[in-house]
Parts: sequence; C-alpha cells; structure tokens
Amino acid sequence: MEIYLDNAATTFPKPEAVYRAVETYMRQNGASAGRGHYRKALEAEELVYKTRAALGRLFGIDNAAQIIFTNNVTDSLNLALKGILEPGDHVITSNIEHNSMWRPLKKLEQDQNISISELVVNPDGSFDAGQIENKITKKTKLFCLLHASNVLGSILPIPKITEIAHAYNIPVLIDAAQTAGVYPIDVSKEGIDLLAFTGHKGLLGPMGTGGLYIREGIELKTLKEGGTGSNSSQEFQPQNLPDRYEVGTSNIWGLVGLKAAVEFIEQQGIEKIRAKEEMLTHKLLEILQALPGVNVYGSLQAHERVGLVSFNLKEMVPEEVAFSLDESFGIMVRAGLHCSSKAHRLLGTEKRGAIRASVSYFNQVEDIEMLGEAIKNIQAK
Amino acid sequence: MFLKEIRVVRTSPCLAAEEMIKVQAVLSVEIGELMPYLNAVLPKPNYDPKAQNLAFKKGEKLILLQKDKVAVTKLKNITHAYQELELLKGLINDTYERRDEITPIYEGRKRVGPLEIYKHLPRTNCKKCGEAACLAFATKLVSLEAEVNQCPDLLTEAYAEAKAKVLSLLGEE
Repeated sequence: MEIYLDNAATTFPKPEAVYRAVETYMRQNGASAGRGHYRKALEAEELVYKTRAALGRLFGIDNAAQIIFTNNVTDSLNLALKGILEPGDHVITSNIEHNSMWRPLKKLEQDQNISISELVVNPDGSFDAGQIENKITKKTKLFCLLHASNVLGSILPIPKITEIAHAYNIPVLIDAAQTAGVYPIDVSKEGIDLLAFTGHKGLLGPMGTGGLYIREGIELKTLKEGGTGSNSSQEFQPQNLPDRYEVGTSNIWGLVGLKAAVEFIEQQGIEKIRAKEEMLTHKLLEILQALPGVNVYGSLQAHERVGLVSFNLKEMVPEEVAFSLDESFGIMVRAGLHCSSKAHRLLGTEKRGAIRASVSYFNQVEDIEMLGEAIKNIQAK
Repeated sequence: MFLKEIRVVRTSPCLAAEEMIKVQAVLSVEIGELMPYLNAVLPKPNYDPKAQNLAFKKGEKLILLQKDKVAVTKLKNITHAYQELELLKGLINDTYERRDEITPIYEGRKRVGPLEIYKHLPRTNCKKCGEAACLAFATKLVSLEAEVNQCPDLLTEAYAEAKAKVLSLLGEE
C-alpha cells in the first residue's frame, strides 16, 4: 500500500473525471484552440473558454477574460511582477515567500534597482496587521505575498492587507499556490488585484496549467509576444485580454483536465473540501505533537493553516526520515527546504530543512494514523 | 433549462472593425415563439415577426437572433464571443422563465430587408464580394453573414453616400 502525503507539491490522485476528460480530448479532439475554423477547433476553443469560466466562478471573477492561462504559478508571478514593476519601485512582500516570488524579486532588485520590504510572519504563524501601514513608502508600487506558506502552512489575513493597501491605491498580488481549490477565495470580496494560481495542486488538475487573474484597469507589460491566433495581420501583440498575454499553442489537454477538476471542486463544494482538509490537518497536528521528540513548526491550530505540517524528528536528518518512510512504509512525504529558504531561516532550519506531510481531499484519517505509527517505528530503531 | 447550448459554428474577422471578430452560432432549441417576449424585454430591438428575426445593439456589438441561430459582430476576441453568448443564453432562459410575467410585443420595428439594401448597392452583379449577385449579397448583409466592406465598389468615393445609407439601414453606423 502506498500513502501519498506530498500534496502541497502536487496533488495525487486527481478526480476520475480529470483523467477521463484529458483522455477523451486527446483521443477524440486533439485540435488547437484559436487556430482553426473547423468544428473540432471550435470545440477546443469552447473547452478553453469553459475552463476560464469555471475558474471565474470559483474565484468570484465576473469577467473571465481577465484570467490569463500560464504554465504554473511561477510563470504567473513572473508576469505579474515583471509586468508591473519599473526601475526604482518599492514592493512589500513577506518574510516567508517561496522562491517563485522571492527569486523574481531578487532579480528585479539586481537589475531594476527595486527595493523590497518584508512583512513579518512569526514562527508560530501569527501576523500583526499593525506593521502593514509602516512599510508603505511613496515609492510602494505593489504588495506581493503568498496566501498561505508552503512551510508553515499559515494563512495570511488577505482582506486586512488589501484594505490597507487600497487606502494608499496600491494593488495587491496574491500567490495562491497553496490555497486555490482548497480554501475559499473571492477576488472581489477580498480585494485581490492580481491572483496567481497553479492548476496541479489544490485545484486537482494536470501539471503545466496555471493562471493569473488581472483586475480590469491593471496594465502589465508583456513578457512574451507571438502567435495568438487572432489579429494575425497586426505586427504587434493584440491589446485585448486574454490574447495579449497568451502566446503560442496552449496546453489544451491540460486545460481540459483543469476544467474537469474545477467542476469536481464545484460539485463537492469548496467548504466541504476545506472542512475535510482542516479535519485531516487537525489529526496530523494531534498525532505529531503527541509523539515524543517531534518538533512541529507553525501554528498548532488547524483552522489557521492549510493542509500541510512541517516537522523534524530530534537529531534525525529529514531526508533520511523521508527515505525510511517511503522505503519501509510506502509513505511519501517531502524533505528539505521546500523551495523556501526564507521560511526555513525564520524557523532556524535553513541548514537542516524539515519533513513536510501534506494532505488532499482524497486522504483519509487512516493515512495520518499510519504516518504516526511509521514515525514511532523509525524512532524506535 | 430551455436553451441548453449556443454552439459557435464559425468565427471570422470583422472587416468593418480592425482587430475585431464576428461569430455565428446555432441554438439548441428554436426560439421563434419566444421572440415577442424578447422583443418586449430588450431595449429598442428591430423585430421582424414574419422573418422571425430580432436584432439589437449592445455597446458596439450588433446581435442578430434568428429562430435557431445567432450572429454577433464586433467582438474583441473569441473569449469575449463566448462570454457574450453565455450572457445571451442567460437572457433567453431568463425571459423564458419569466414569460408569464412579460407582456409580449408582437409587432416591432422591422429590421431592414434585403430589397431595401439592394436598392443602394451598385447592382452590377460583379461577384467581387464572393456572392453570385448583389441581391444575394444584400441578403447576407441583413443576416450579418457578409459585411459592407466586401463590396469594393461601395468603398469608392462615388458610392460613399450609398455605403453610409446601407450601414445606417443595417444599424451598423
């Protein structure tokens, strides 16, 4: 038996409907959207539109044309950051960002002389909203931060941040890598101006799918230009969305799978999915905390986090624990720095790293119990 | 649901508007009997009860509904086309749901007919527009399947007035 607990990296399994949709499209259609005038091409086009529309419903986006498809959240963050920031601009981010946000920012700091301030999330996951306003300067162009940490699991208070940012007319870019599909997001209610998401994690879709929501009125420079299948006589990139930012042949079978995945989430209901993951996270925290010699990072309250828990076993190397869990028990967890040395620096684990177990809607309580038993076994050796 | 699907069957560039497209789509049910209700609900449509067509403007866009199909012009891109058709589907279904509360209007401002358009065309049957004759071209202009710019003669100085007249009759200017 195998137990997959690396869902924060990518979810597995996917809903049955995802496999079926991808296979049906690959076998029976196979045409590229926006590139033909025959029936199958138009069908492909419609599938892509329906994916956009489904994501629009899920995220409270009225105008689905404002959703741009990308390859993943890293792609989306690069487009948003490099599309909006100019030399000398100031941004406010957090001290626990994933490299997908942090590295583009460091590159822009190096090349474009932007300056970066960090909002402080504490090792226990707590966050003082009082610090937000103090970080704003005359040059602040953007707030850009993650919705939930892939190491601490903590969820940041987005509406509080957007409220203050908007009082100063500063847009907010949210990295929803760990929340899209597993935590309710409504861009209009929460005042999110740019929402970067990936399709293969909480949204339960295929890898190679992702997107960026761009609020109407926000103009981003393009990172890529090329064929859009529209306005082909024009030498310059069309200005209208989504064509302006979507170039080259799209990952249509990925998007077809993502459509089925989002429809699955809609059928189940995001509240039900969140409730199940919260229950599993509670179980994870409960079992891990009860074990002697286990150091659990972040908040101990499941409702303050997404479905992942990072921890270490006293004096044991995380990679070796992960190896033993897989080798002896078929339990798959992540070990290392999780592409976020910033979060590990906060926890004092930047050298050592940590073990991370992360759940999805398809895990069961028994999976968590098995993990607990396996850890006991490894500790006893 | 009354109208389950509006399926796009054709997209093509709008000749009249740079960087814009038009689409033609088919309806999964016939809506002829619903047209008097839509005529009552929509702002200032052109409704022809005999031909069972209903045309209305929405911003820049011109939408022509027929009993089993629809054409929409001046769309920014295919995504906008699907959005527009989804809104239209919503409007049709909503009108159908509420038809008991709506007083239908059976007569309407008639949309221009092919003959009226034909009167202002060069009537040379030169076929340069791709149609066999000017009357056929006029018919396609009315159903939004062709555009004024396809007629090279109409683009000349001599026909400037005629072109303006045709555009205004079609509700495109």
